[in-house]
Amino acid sequence: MTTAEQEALIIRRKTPWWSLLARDKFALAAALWLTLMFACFLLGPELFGKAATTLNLRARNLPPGSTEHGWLMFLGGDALGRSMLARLVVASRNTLTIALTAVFFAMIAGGFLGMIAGYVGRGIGHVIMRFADVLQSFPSLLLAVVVLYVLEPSVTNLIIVLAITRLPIYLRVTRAEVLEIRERVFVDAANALGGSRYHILRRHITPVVAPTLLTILTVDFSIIMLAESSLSFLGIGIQPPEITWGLMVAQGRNYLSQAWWLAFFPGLAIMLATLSGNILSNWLRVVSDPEQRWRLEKPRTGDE
Amino acid sequence: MGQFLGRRALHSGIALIGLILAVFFLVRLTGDPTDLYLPIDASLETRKEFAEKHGFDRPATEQFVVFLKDVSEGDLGYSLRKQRPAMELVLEAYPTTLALAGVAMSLSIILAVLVGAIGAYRPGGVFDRISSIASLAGASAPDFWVAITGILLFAVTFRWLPTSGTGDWPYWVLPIVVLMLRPFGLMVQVVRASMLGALASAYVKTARAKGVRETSVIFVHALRNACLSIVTVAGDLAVGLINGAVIVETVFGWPGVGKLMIDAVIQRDFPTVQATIMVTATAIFLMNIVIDLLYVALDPRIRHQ
Amino acid sequence: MSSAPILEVENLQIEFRTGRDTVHAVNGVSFQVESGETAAILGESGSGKSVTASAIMRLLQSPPAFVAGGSIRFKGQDILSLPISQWRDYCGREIAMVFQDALTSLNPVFSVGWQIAELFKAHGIAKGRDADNRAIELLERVGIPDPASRAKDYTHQFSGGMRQRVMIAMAIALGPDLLIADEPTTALDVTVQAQIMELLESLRQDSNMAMILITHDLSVVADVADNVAVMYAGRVVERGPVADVLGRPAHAYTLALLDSVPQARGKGSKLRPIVGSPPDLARIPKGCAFNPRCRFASDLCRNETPPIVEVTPGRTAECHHAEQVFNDG
Repeated sequence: MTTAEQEALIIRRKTPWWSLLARDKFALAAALWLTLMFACFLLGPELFGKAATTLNLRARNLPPGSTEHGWLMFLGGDALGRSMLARLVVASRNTLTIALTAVFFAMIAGGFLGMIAGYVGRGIGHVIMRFADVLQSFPSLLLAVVVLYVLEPSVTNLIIVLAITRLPIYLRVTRAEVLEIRERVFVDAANALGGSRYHILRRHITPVVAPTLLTILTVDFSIIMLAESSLSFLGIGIQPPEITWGLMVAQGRNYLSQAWWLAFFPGLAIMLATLSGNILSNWLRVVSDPEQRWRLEKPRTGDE
Repeated sequence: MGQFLGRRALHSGIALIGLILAVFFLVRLTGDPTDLYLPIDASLETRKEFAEKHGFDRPATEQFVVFLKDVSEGDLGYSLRKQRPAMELVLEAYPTTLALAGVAMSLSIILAVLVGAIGAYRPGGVFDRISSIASLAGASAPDFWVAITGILLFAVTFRWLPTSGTGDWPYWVLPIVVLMLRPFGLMVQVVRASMLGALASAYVKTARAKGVRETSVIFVHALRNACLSIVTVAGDLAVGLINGAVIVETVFGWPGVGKLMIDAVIQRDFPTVQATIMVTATAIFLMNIVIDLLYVALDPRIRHQ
Repeated sequence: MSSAPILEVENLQIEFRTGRDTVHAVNGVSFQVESGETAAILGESGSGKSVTASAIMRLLQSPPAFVAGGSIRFKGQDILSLPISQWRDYCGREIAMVFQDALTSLNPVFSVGWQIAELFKAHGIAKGRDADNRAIELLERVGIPDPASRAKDYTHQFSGGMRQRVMIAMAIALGPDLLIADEPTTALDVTVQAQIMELLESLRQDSNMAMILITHDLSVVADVADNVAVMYAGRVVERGPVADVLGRPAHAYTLALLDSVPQARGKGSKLRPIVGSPPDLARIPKGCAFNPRCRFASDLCRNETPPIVEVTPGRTAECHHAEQVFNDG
């Protein structure tokens, strides 16, 4: 921003976040979609578990779009006549469990290592940063493939591998923020007052770093979901009878010419979830950036 | 400049060595490394002979020396599947992947620069809104799903393009487009963001005050500065492109490194897996150095450090 | 100086529309610049002086900035109604600008020689080697030693003062008739400030160029300007010949400004900082914008916009108490 504009934009009042969300229809749709997915994740298997495993031989490879066999068959049936919709809802639990847990551990571990790298000392900091270099300079999918090859694919191993490959981002961001905050006066003041290092990290640094990490978290949720589904698609991720959307695409691929919906809908579910995560993260970034926030605050009837 | 390049090369080098170390330990994590290197039905004698040749019976430090020697000679064992040196297989597969990745990467950079720059010129305008959503969708799309949907649509239904395999340009269309999605989507966002910054900068104001034409303001003054961040992410995207290549080659049956690796994993052919990792890591190491050189060439501030 | 003014700004209004707030950065500013003269615009940051300068060059980013009213005439031509591409032909050639911070205002990835030569190329005056040589000549003219080799250097390789000289070389390259200098010395060391002002003044005299000097520095105004316009909250509150305005202010704000600076006025006067801070331009106070900070403020000032008072011929002030300030201040 130029000085002339800064001169003009001196004081601005804050609009509450929910009001900003309501104004951006893409962000609102993304938030609603993720909420729906979360509901499926919480209740899906309990409500639809039975429907997802019930075989209905008359509905084998039933094309989508008809409610002849009940509304559960609206998205069609699979090769065994199971409801596509019910299977999608049930698979949301594994898909989301893996993505959310992996994101969570990546953030915790990355944030923790980043704080150490930024706060404790140059020596340890260097070691940690080089560790991040190793992880980042190699394609994450290949890394995951190799580790799962050696360690056997299981849900736990999948989560660990995905968390580790995403960890460097949190590490770098946290470290950069910590280094910056360290320079600020209030930490010096706390140091001078004899606060313990742990206390300073917890009370002064964590609150500042957390919002940035949350923005990355939403993007990362998408990235990890894509990575998990890619691995499952390749047959190296989750193993049947467990099921995720990625695995459903892989299974549906064999019936591509007879029953396109078997691969199409699970893929669409992944796409919508990752797109929602990305849209919401972009929105968060704009909202938390004072130089861009005005774009959202602009009334819809603005003369452009 | 020398200091900058030296430090960057050192960091890339440490990353390469770190990866080699990781492979060394990974192999020993599973217990008996011969299980990984030899077919399941290998006789006891073969196992013993192999273990002795590669020093698996000796202390870990000594094993590491032998391992380093093997790596430096490119001796990463025989492919269990093809009974040929694993390294040969990998080097054979590389040109295919490089061609695919090279075309996809160049096209995505060119397109993303155009789309991102035009979008940033009128932020919030129609073009910007459409291209932002499109690029976000590109970055979010599961590539394997787009690939098979593409096959379903353009190969199975309309029969415009072949379903898989290699050959003339029609064989290239779907793989390239699918492979481009992610780098294009991410790059548009990066170009847009850095062009927004550059276009709002004081030097762009100066250029306008000089009476420089608007196309020069955008594509000379602003873009030349935005190039720096484009080059920075191009490296990361190129690394990520290998992820995409694995998927694309598997779905479209291209005989590249990605397919080689997945096939090797599924058929439990460890020497081939290991050779793929080593060659890929080395290629990335070299690429990082090229990118750093490019960076120095583009940014006079680093050149004079 | 009987010819028509080179620049006439009339009732200029500029708004920044941000969300629900509209920031009134410039609220009806009028002034003229005669050819060959140095006119100063004096004001604190946030007074709208830089926005006015950017508006004259048509450099404001829209959105969020909009010209809400008024006109700007350059050599009789209404510039706001010109298509921007046509106006750009004037920029650099007939009207030029020196920016405040040369470090960010010069492009970091092109050599300074290239950036100067670009002017000749953009206006189709010279190209190739010829343009490069002219750039070197200009660097020499603004006092950069060893110009031929310095032309190949980049911004970060110059000191602050040298960088501002490069900026000036660019501005005068095509011999403009009007130069706008936006706080040209603010980013510099005190000793260098004087050199740069001296350079600007001598270049101006050589080519009989008019100059608008935008500054918050009273001493700079007193040194080089012929006329001055004092701005507060987006309005010109007092206008007139420099010696008259600074010698005997007629607006309470000008007076307060002089009282807040050491040695600006004659001996004996006490240093008196201006209390409070400039108003939020989205919520400009009713009446006179300066009233909350003014020691002369009365109920009249709080309720009614002051009229423009002609204090002496050629001098105006927008103050209810202009006479009182003029006589007692």
